[in-house]
Amino acid sequence: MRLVIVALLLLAAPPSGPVDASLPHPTPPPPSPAPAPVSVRLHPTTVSTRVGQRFSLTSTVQNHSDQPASGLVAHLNVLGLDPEVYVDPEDWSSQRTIYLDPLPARATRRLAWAVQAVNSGRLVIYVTVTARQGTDAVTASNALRLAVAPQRTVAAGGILPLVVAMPTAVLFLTGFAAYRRRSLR
Amino acid sequence: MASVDDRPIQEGRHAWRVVAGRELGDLWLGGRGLPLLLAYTLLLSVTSYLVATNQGLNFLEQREAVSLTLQVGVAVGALLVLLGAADSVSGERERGTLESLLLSPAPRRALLIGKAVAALSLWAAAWIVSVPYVWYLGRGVGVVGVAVASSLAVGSLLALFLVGYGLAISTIASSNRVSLSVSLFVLLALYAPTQMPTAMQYSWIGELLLRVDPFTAGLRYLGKLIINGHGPGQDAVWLVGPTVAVVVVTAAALILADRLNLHGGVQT
Repeated sequence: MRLVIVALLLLAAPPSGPVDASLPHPTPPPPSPAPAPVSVRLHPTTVSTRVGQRFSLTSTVQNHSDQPASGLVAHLNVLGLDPEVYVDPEDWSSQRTIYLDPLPARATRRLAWAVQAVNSGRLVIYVTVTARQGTDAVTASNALRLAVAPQRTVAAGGILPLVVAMPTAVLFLTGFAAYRRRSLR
Repeated sequence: MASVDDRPIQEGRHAWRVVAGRELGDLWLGGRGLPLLLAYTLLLSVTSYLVATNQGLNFLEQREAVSLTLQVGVAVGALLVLLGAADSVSGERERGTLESLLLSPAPRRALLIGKAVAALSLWAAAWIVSVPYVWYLGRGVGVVGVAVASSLAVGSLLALFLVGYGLAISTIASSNRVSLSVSLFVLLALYAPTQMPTAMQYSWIGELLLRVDPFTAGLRYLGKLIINGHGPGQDAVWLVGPTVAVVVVTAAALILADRLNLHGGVQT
């Protein structure tokens, strides 16, 4: 009986050494996901263009498994490497998600993406693939390194005379009409 | 030489010219035509200046700049027509001048056609004023000709729709306030589909709503011509909605013109 009491006291005693009460007890790391049965490659790997230009990319999704893969979803993403540049991927492509038809065993499928360069600077485009059900794995493609040169196509300096002259001309006409109206009375 | 019996018919045929002449004079020499055009020119100047100089707006290629300015010009220019048309009959009714107009020998359809011509002149003036802006922004990328021609075609279609629509509302509205508010409210309701989430816009019902709204359909057609460089016939299906709308509202305006009366409402 005494041994039982001693054992209970030992179990209830706090562990020796400092304890950070604010942190939860460490949990074992989750088991690493199984190797992804699909891979995705992006072509080309580098693009140089200007703001406003459209270009197309191709990604190849390959099923390495002996089983057909169904429910695959591919997603295009854009990220800026310059911290000052805000990048909204939605502006770059109107269709960034493709739901794939079932991919037979050992088969590949090419996906075409239409993109328009909206921001200048250095950016990266990549494609991820995951399955709608049954796995936590998200497979990412290689990066497409993108260099977008700024483009300022409208000559800003010359427009000032035009934007001033046009309202002035209409204002002059308005004044002339008012003067003519008064003189006819 | 016309016989005595033919004279009233011929007078009726040409009465719209007399009405149009008087209305044009009232609008451009003594009315609000020029002040409206001045406001329109200021809007185009501000838009063009921002498109050309503001880094936030000037982020896309030159075709986008032309398209943005052109769409503002066409939409607001056509709206000027609505302001003119919505005031045409209900304004006379409110000012107490409709009675003398109705007592004139001109057929009632001729009265409305004359007023429609005057309201459409607002769009014609707006289009002429927009040409220098389009020329400046579009030179160098070869879209000036396309932009000027397509804006004339699409803008005229929208102006015809709005003049018929405004006249129909104005004919039955008892006051100017009712006419203008109903006209603008319905236009706002038509504009609502363009604010749908992107996913909704790609659904069949979203696409249908976008094509039914004459404004959205017309402006999208303009964008496809200028930004995407499509041919005029490639996306002509977008003009089906505006064309149908023009036919419907014109027929409605002509039918209501025959029932035009002093106090508003529909005379049976």
